[in-house]
Amino acid sequence: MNKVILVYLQLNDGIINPVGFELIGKAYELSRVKGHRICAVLIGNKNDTVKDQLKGQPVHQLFYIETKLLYNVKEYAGYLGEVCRELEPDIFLLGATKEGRSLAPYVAAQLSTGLTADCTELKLDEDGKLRQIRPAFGESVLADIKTRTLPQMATVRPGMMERFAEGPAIPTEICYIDKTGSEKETMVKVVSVSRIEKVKDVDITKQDVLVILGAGISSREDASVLERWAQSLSGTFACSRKLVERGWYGISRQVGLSGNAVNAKLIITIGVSGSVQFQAGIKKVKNIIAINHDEAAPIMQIAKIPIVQDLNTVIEKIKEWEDERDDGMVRG
Amino acid sequence: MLKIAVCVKQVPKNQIGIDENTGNIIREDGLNCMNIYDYAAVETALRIKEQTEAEVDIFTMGRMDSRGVLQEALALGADEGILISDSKYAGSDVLATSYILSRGIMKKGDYHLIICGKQTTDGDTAQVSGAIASQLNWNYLPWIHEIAEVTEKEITACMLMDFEKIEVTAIYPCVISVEPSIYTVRIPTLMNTLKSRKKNITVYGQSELSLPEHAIGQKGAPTRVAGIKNLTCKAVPAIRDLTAAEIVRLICEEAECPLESRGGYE
Repeated sequence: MNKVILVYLQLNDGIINPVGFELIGKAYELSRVKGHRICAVLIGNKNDTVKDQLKGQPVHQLFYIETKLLYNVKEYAGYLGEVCRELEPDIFLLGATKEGRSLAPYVAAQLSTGLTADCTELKLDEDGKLRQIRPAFGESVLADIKTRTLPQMATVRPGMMERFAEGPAIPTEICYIDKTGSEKETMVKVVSVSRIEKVKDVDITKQDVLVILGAGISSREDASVLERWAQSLSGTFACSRKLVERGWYGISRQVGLSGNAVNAKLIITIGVSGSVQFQAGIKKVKNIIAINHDEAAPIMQIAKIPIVQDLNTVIEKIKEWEDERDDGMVRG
Repeated sequence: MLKIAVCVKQVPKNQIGIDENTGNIIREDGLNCMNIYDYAAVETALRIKEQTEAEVDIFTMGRMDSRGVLQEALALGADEGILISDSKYAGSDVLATSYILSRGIMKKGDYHLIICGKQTTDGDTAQVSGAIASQLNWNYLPWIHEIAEVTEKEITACMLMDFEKIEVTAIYPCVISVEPSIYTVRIPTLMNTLKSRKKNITVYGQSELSLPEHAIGQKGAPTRVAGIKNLTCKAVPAIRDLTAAEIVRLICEEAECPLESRGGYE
């Protein structure tokens, strides 16, 4: 049997996007059930460092499609379609990045196969079929989706799967597929490329303790009290989408579907209602303390410690202590 | 003249859920509206129309009551609405939907440009626009957040990718999906609303499109929902009787940052 799980490795400036390694990690886990081979495909300029980047990863075969074309959905999807037709993988996974999410539907429709968007979990059932779990309907439910055609395709939300930790070393065979020259045929010409300046003052996905501020916080002053408090808890602060919309914080502080998926050991949500979009960002967090005046808020249903209390009272208390401490420091 | 097709969708207005036993969608109040991301698509088409005198047709696929979203787009200034509706189309997933929509669009005319919103608020996949482009074998420009120029032959626009903005010029035909940030959307004027009542809405069903049954509806959908799990089921009883001081202390303990150890908060 030659059953294959294929993963797409997104290349940005010669570096494999981290979600690629998460896909390999998941593919490895899945491959242990039915003995699949893991293959990977990437598209870009020829780059010798890719081999090093993949060192120690359980990838049997890498299809390296060489092209000078910058991201071009139709051409890229055509290349991936060719690889799929040749390799006939059981499963084809892409990261749910902007690149992956736009490339995957083009490939899937070409191959007349099904595609599940933005999965947060994948597993094989007893029949060896891929079960694709994704939040649906405003993230109020988890849908478990099956595909009856091959390849079973899914995009996978970044930050949700574990990277491959360790196992027997597998030499990766690299097959180069030369598509240089095809850039002449495309009807899409690149005019300019500019980097998106990411003012990432802090990486909230790497913090152990997060105080997450929500729409229930009514003033900037209250917010800054909580920002400082987060620091004194040896953590940092983050926020829900509403506060980004208010212009208080940037996306780098946002937790949720359109923000970041966090990995904290403990989060304290204050005035966060916990929409399903928000919950998508805290899926990995087990220890949630939620403070909200509304017992019925969704966050209260998933919190380990749901506390019903008026936010102002709590913030007032924190502020009091802060003032006392500051006084103490001045005196000291 | 430039011909533009815009795809919109009717979605439930309020938070929806799923009945865990039946798997059916719970539409809490039965109210529907246009998918919020689609306003940006309609707006983009109308801006192009203002610059180049393009013709803008609005397509939707759904139940007969989806007519409302077409009327709304017509009141904003679009020219014609096309409702693709047939009980045989029910149960379509991304692949079947994109197939039916692309065939409907092809039947209506030779379009240069198809504009879609970034995603819907109910399906939330952001996949249909790319699948339509694929069905037609057209070029596809996703995540457009700025349009630099539109001419009779080509569009120059900027894709907001993961790490960079890529500005490209694409020769028609082409499908684009637009970010909600692309334009501030207009509200319908009284004049346009009155005018829109005279505008035509065409209905296409199976008798007009005659699509192969294996490619549409449930039969044409390779994906199936095998199960549903509500995320809000294992609630711990909320704690109501803690004072603010006790709450802060509790949190400090959970954070393994006892008050005493930090000097400040005694």
